[in-house]
Amino acid sequence: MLSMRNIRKIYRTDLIETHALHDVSVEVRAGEFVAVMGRSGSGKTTFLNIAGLLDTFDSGSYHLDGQDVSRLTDSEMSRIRNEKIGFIFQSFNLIPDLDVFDNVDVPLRYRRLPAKERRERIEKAVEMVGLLSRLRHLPAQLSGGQQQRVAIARVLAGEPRLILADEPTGNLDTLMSREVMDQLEKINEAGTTIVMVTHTPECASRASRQIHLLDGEIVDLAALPPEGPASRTVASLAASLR
Amino acid sequence: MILHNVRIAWKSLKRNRSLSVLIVAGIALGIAVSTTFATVRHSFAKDPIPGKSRGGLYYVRMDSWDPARPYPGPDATLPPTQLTYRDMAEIMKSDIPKRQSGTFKTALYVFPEDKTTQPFRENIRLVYSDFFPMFDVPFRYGSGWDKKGDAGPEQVVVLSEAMNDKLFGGGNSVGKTVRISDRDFRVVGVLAHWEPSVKVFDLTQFQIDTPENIYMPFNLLKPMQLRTFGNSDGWGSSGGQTGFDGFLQSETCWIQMWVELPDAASLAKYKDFLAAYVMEQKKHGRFQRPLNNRVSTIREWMKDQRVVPPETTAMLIVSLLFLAVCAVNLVGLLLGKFLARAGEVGVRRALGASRADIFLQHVVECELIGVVGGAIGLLLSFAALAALNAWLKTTVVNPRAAFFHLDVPMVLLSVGLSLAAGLAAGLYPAWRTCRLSPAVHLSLQ
Amino acid sequence: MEFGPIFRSMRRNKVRYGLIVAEVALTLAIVANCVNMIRDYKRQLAIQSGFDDDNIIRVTSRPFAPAFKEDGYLDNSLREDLAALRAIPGVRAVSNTRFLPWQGGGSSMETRVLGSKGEMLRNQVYNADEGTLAALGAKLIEGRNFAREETESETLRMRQIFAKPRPTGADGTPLEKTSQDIIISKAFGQLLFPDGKALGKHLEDTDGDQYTIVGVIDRFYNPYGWPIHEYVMFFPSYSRNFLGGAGYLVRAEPGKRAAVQASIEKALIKANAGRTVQVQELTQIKERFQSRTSLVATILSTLIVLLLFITSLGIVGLTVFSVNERTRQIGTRRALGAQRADIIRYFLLENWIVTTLGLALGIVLAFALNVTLVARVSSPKMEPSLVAAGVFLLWIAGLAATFLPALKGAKVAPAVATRNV
Repeated sequence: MLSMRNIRKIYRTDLIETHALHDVSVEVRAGEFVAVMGRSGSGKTTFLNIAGLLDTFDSGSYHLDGQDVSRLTDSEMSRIRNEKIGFIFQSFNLIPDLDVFDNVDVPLRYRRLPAKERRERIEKAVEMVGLLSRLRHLPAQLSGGQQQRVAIARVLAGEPRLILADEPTGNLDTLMSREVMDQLEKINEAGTTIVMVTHTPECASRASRQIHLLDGEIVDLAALPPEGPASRTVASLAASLR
Repeated sequence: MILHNVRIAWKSLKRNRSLSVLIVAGIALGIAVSTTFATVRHSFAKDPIPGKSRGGLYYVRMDSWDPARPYPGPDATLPPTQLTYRDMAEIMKSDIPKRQSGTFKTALYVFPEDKTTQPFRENIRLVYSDFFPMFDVPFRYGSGWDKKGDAGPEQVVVLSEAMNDKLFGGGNSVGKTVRISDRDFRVVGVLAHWEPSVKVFDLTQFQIDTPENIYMPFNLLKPMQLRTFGNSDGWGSSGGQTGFDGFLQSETCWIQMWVELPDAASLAKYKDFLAAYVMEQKKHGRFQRPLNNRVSTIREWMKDQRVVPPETTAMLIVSLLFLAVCAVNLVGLLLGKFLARAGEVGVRRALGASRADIFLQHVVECELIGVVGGAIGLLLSFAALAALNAWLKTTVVNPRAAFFHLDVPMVLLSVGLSLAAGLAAGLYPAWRTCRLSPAVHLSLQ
Repeated sequence: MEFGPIFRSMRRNKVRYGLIVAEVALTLAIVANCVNMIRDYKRQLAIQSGFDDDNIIRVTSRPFAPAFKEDGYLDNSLREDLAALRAIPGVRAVSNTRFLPWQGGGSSMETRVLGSKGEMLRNQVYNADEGTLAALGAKLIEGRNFAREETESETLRMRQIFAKPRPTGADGTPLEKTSQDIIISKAFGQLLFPDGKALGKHLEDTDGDQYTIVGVIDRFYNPYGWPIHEYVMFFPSYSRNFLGGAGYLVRAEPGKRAAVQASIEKALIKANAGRTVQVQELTQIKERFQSRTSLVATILSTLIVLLLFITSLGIVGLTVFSVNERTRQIGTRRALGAQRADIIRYFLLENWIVTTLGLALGIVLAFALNVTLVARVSSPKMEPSLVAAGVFLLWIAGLAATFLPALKGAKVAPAVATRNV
C-alpha cells in the first residue's frame, strides 16, 4: 500500500539546513493499522505530510498503492489525496462556517460527484459515526468528540484506501479518545489501511504495529509486532544507520 | 461549481462581518464616485440625438468678423459662433442642402384664452419648416408647417407637450388659436415629449436648458420686428443704420444656421458654395478676414462650444484614481483576509482541492465582493445624481427634469468597473492563497 | 537603530508594503491636485464685485398691456416706478439700468482714445441714471456723477438721433458724430491711459462717436464671457427693452433688504398695472453664478476626506494583518526584554519608512497628474508648497493609522512565545 525508500527531507533557510527526515524507508501493507511514534521534533509531522502528499521530499522514492508518486504535479497530487487518502487531524480541521453535511461534502465536491451520489454517501457516512441527527449543526455546536467523528465521517464518505491520522485523540479526553479509537479500529477491520501518528502509548497499542521515529530516522524497537498473522505485518523497517 | 463557490464566498463574507463591511464599503464608495462622475460627464458628452450626430446634420459658421482682430473667445482660430441675418438670408437661397434652417430665440407675451390667467412671457424659437424633420422632432398631434407657411409667413405655431397642457389642458389642440403678443396664431402641431440631452440646436448659451415651448415661422421676424433673446455679437461701425432695419443690415452675428447634407458629395459642394459666397462678398468689402468657413458635425460643434465642462473631466479623472486607490486598498484587505484563512485552505487542499479549485473559490469571492459593492455603489450614485439634479434645479433657469441620469451604457460601465475592480484586486490574493503549501498550515494551528 | 532589520523584513514582504506605497503615492497625487484646484476655485469665489451685493435687489418689470408700447406712456411709467420704489421705507437708492452684476454677461462695445489711431479695446457698456452708483454702492473716486435732468435729456436726445438712419460719409461711418459724457472704472482708465489720468479725456467708438470721461469709480468687477470683467463705461440714459420691459436696482438700508423686497411688487403694480414684476436679491443671482464653482470645490473637498479615510483604513488593515502575523515574534521580543514602547516604535518606524517611500513616489505622481490636468482641463499649475503640505498631512495620517494596531501589538503577552499552538 505505502512504500517509502530512502526518503530525505531538508528544510533550507538562508543560513542553515535542517534535516527533518534522513533516509527513511517504510513499508505498509494493505489492511495494516500502523502507529508512528516519536517525540515532538522527531519528524512525525514531516513524515505524515510526505505520506499524505502534502509536502514534497528531496530524495528517495515513494510508491502509493502501487503507483510511483515521487514526481507528480500539484494537481495530480490533489487528485490522489482526494480519491485515495483520508486525513484525520488532531484539531479536527472542520471548516467552521460549514455545517456537518457540507463539511463531509467538501472532498466529494472536489471529486465532482453527482449531487445524488454525494447525498447518499454523506448520509451513510454520518450515520456510521452516529451523528445523523446533527446533520445541520455547525462545528461550534458539537463537542470535541463529535467533531472528530464528523472528521471521520468526512474520511469515510470518500472511501479512501489509506487513512492518515495525526494525533486523532490529542485534543480529546479519555472517554472520547476511546470512542474515536474504537471507530478507527472498526474502519481498519473493514479493510482500510491506517497510518496514525501519535505519542500516546495507549493509542499506539491499538495499532497492529508501531514504528518509532527519532530525529528523523526510523528506530526499529521491536522486530515483530506483538501479535497478528505474519502476512499482515511484514516488517520491512529498514533502519538505516549511517 | 461556480454556484457552490458563490455560496462559500457568501458564508465567508458573513463570518467576519466588520471586515466584510469595510471591504464592501470601500469598493462601493469607489464605484459610487466613479459611476457618478462618469455619468455627469457622459450627460454632457453623449450623442444628443442618437443616430443624427453621425452625419448629415451640419452647423454653419463663416468668419464675417472684424478684419482688425479675431472673434474673441477661448480659441482665436474659430469664426463667430453665429451668422449675421443678411448672410443667413443669402445662403438659405442655396438648393444644395436637403433641408436647412436658420433659427434664433425670442421672447413674447402669451395671452391664455382663460382671462383669469395672467399673461406670461415665454421664450419662443423661430425656425423654418425643415427644422422639425432635421432634428427628428417627434409630434403627438399634427405636424410642422409647410413651405407655404415659411413663405407667407403664416401665423402658425407648434407647441410643446408642456405648453399644450398649460394652454389647453392637453389633448389634440391642432386648429385651436393661441394669442401671442398682439396676434392670433393657429396651432398646427403639438410635440410629443422631446428632450435631447443638451439643447443641441442652440449651443450658444444655456446648453442644458429645456427646449423652447413654442415654435413659429422664421419669417415672422420682420412683420413682428422680433429681437433675439440669445447672444448677439457685434463689431465695427453701424454704417449709420439705426433701429430694427439697421440691426438686420448690421454685421451683428445672432442667427444659428443648420443644414442637412445627405452625402459627402453634397457636403463638398456646399462647402464650395460657401467659399464662393464669401469670395463674392469680399469683392464688396465684407469678409476681410481669411476664409474660415466651418460646416461642422454636431460633435465638432459641441467640442468648439466646450459643451463638456472641463470640471467634469477633472472630476472623472480624480474619481477613477479614487477607484484605483479603493482597489489597491482592497488588495491589502483581501490578502489579510485570505491569508488569515490559511488553515482552512490547508484542509481543503488535504481533502483534494487542486490549486485551481482554491484559486477559483477565492476569485469568485472577490467577484462577489465586487458585485455586492458595485450594486451598493450604483444605488449610492443614483442618490448622488438625484442630489445633483436637485442642485441643477436651483441653479439653472429652465433645467430639464433629470439631466443627470444613469442610462444603460452607464449602468453597464458601472457593472464592468465593479467586476474589473473585484478581479484586479482579487487576482493577486487568490493566487497567493492557492500557492500556500498545504502542509505548513495544517499542523501549526 | 532598527532600520537594518526592518528593511530586511520588508524585502521579504514586497507586495504588502508595495501596496501601501502605491496607495500613499496615489493619495498624495490626488489630494495635492484636488487641493490645488480647490484653491483656484476659492480664489474665483472670493473675488469682490466692488458693490454692496448683500443689500441689492433686482427688479424686472415685464409689461403685457398694449399701452406699454407707447414711448410717452413708458417714460411716465418709468418715472412713476422710480418714485414708487424710492418711497418704500428702508430704500437707500434706486436706479434704472440694464446692468445686473453676477449674471455672467452683459453688453460690450469697442472704444479707443480719441485721435489715437490705436487698437480698439473692448469694454462693458451700460446705461446709468443719477442713482446707479448709489444703488450699486460703487465709490466715485474722481469727477462727478450723472444728474437726473442730464439722464432725462440725454435719453431724449439720443432717441432722436437714432430714430432714423444716420447719413454716412466716405468711410461708411455716420457723418455727424455724437458726444456723450461717461463714467468709467479705474481699471479701464488705467488700460486706456497707463499714466492713470483718465478724467476729462475723450474716447471714440467704431462709428467715431465721442465720449468724455467725467467720472471714475474705484472698483468694478462683472464676470463676462470675454476677458473684460473690470472694464466698463456707463452713459447717462434710461433704458427698456423692445417689449417695454425695464430693469431696476434697489439698494436697501443694511438689515432691511427682506422687508423692502416684500413690498416692491405691490408698490409697482399699484403704480402701473398690466405687467408682471420679478423681484430677486442679488445674493441669489451671485450664488447661482458661483454655484458650479462652489459645488465642484465642495465635491473635491469631500473626495479628499473620503480618500484620506480609505487610505488610513488600508494602512490600519495592513498593520493589523502585520501585527497578527507577528504575534509570536512580538511575544518573543517581549520575552527577550523589549518594552511596549519598543514594540510600538518598531511598527511606527516600519510604517513611517513605507509611507515615506510612498510619498517620494507620490511627489512624482502629483506633478505628473498636474501636467495632465493642466493640459486637459486647464487646471492651474501645481504649487510645490501644496505637495509639501500633502506630504506632511499623510505622514501624520500614516502614523495615526498605525498607532492603534501597534498598540494592540504591544499588548501581546510575552508568554505567547512559549505557547506551543
